Amino acid sequence: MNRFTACVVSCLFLIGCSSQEISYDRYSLVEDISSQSFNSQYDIAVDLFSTLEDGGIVLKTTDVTLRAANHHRWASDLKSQIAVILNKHLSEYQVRNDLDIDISVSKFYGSVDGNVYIDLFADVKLDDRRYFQHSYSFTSKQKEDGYASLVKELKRGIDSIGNKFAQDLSLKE
Amino acid sequence: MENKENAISRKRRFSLYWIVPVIATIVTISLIWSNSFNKGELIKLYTDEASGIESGKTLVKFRSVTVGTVENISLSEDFKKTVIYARIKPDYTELLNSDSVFWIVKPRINSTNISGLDTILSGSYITLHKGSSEELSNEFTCLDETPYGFDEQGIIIRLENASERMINPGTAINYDGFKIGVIVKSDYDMDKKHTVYTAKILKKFSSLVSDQSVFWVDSGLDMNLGANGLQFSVPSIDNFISGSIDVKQFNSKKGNPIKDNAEYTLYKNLRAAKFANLIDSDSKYVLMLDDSSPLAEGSQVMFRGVKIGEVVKIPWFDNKADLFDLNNKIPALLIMDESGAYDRTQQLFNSLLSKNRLCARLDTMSILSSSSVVNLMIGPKIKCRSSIKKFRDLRVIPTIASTDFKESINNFSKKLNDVEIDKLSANLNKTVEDFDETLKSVRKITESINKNDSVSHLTNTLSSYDSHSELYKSLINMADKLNKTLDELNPTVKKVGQKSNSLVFSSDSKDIEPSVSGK
Repeated sequence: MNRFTACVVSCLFLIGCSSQEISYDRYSLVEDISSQSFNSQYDIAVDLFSTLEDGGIVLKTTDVTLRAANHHRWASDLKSQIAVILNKHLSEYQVRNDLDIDISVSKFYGSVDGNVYIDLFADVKLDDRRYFQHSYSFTSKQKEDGYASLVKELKRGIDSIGNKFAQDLSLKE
Repeated sequence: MENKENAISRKRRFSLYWIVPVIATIVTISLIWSNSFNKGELIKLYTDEASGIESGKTLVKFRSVTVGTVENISLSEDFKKTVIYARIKPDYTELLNSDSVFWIVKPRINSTNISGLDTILSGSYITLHKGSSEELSNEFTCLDETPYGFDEQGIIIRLENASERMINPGTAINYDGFKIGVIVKSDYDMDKKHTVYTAKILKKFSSLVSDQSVFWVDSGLDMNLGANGLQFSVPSIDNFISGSIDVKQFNSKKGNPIKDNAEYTLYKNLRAAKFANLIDSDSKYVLMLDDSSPLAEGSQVMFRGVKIGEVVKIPWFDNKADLFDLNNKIPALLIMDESGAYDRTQQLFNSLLSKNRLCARLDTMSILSSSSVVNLMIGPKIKCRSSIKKFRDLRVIPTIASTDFKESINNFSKKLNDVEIDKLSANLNKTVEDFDETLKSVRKITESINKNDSVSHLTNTLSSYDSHSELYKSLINMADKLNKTLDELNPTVKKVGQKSNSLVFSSDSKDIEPSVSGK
């Protein structure tokens, strides 16, 4: 009886510990960016909405709820990825490098129905004086189902915003 | 018959022996004519004294050309004059107009002029100025000195001397530094007991002078001690050496043109002339002072930093004895400059005085000068009154307390005297000694630190923590790894946080997948 009980309990444990889905894939926004852009010549500080700092890709599940994925996570800190992308675009437009750039990202997620949302606010200062301020947003729909398509669309969106931002700054000079 | 014919022919032939006597006769007659009947005009020149004149030698010249000779000198019948008989050559009798002027040229040296030096060797001579009259004359007055102002047309005026200075004939009369006339002669009026000058104002400049003009003696030296220091200038060396007379009008009244024989007063200086000219002006005000010593005649009246008038009389009592009544304040008469743009002065100042908004303050002009300027103050915060509103029918400008520079310096000096220098010095010495001790201690500490190589050890220690050190880099790496590990553990921590037995009984659910197609 004791053996039988121990066997049943062990089976239950094994069932309980049955294989689950484990994913080691990590998503990156900066795969196609040259290593030069990782050496930032601009002072860019990115501030994310708290849910976005979880490390997982965020989905908007309802109008009032957000869920960060457990198994679909960023390869590196999202802040630094966004900073690298912006740095690349600023370099392309040869924007002056003595600016203090603060980026506040309030939206950087998709939704269960395939929409993609990016919203950020850029506050640029020169010598502690306000130099440039602008809000940028991007809304789109992913091409396919799944997180990979979502990430691709997020990348496209942040590239578009980065380009516009760099262009605006270069015209400001 | 032949002899008779010869006698007749001998009678008819003119003898050549008669030529010489005829020529001699002609010459004799011409000489007699020129010496006796055509000698020229003999004229009489009356003079006070004929010193330097010699009969038969002294010449009469016109424009340096000899036109005659003195033939004789004698006394007049009443012995009051000398009569010089001069023969003017026949070609020059037209010079003898009745208004021609003769005078004796001889060496003259005085304080203002040196002339006639050429006559030292050649001797004195008589010269003349041709008149313009159509009548001729043979009796003239011969002046002893060179007359002035006769060669140009002009208007003759009389200047009654109110100055102590003696003016010589020939002295120029200037208007703004330009000669417009000359003193012709001087005389002493026994009735009025002062010198009277006859002056000629050249006709072409007569419009510059009117009956409102004033004349004064110009010393030729300008000196002014003001806020900018001592200013000294000599506008004209001639005026400085010989003096001159200036003329101008300072008031704004419309004057009548100058007339012949008009009488003017010759004032002793510019200030007296200005005062006389402006005394009837409407822009006059009075200050009532306790003490007149800061002010003097000529002290400037300033308004907003610009000179607009001056003190022309201080004290300005009706009766000089009022000065000794200690109840009386000392009146100072101010006259505003009416030239330029200050015509509205009277209107503005009277209006301000009515509202007690115009005040006068005596300010020290400069540290060098002990005299003051009168600063007229207006403004919304300026208010002052005077117990005396009018003095001798003129409005009184109230005075306010002045910023006496000298008094401020005196007060400061007193405070400086009160400072106990000895105590201060002793305290300072003690402080310096203490500081010296402190420095010695610091030096000792520094030396001991240097001996133990403490500084270099400290530097080494600090350098091991800077951003380039290995320690710093390994700390950063460790922090990065920790962050990544925590990120990876984040879902597990959330799961356990939601359900504590989730580690054993896994209730892991799949992530929601975003779906475009709606699946």
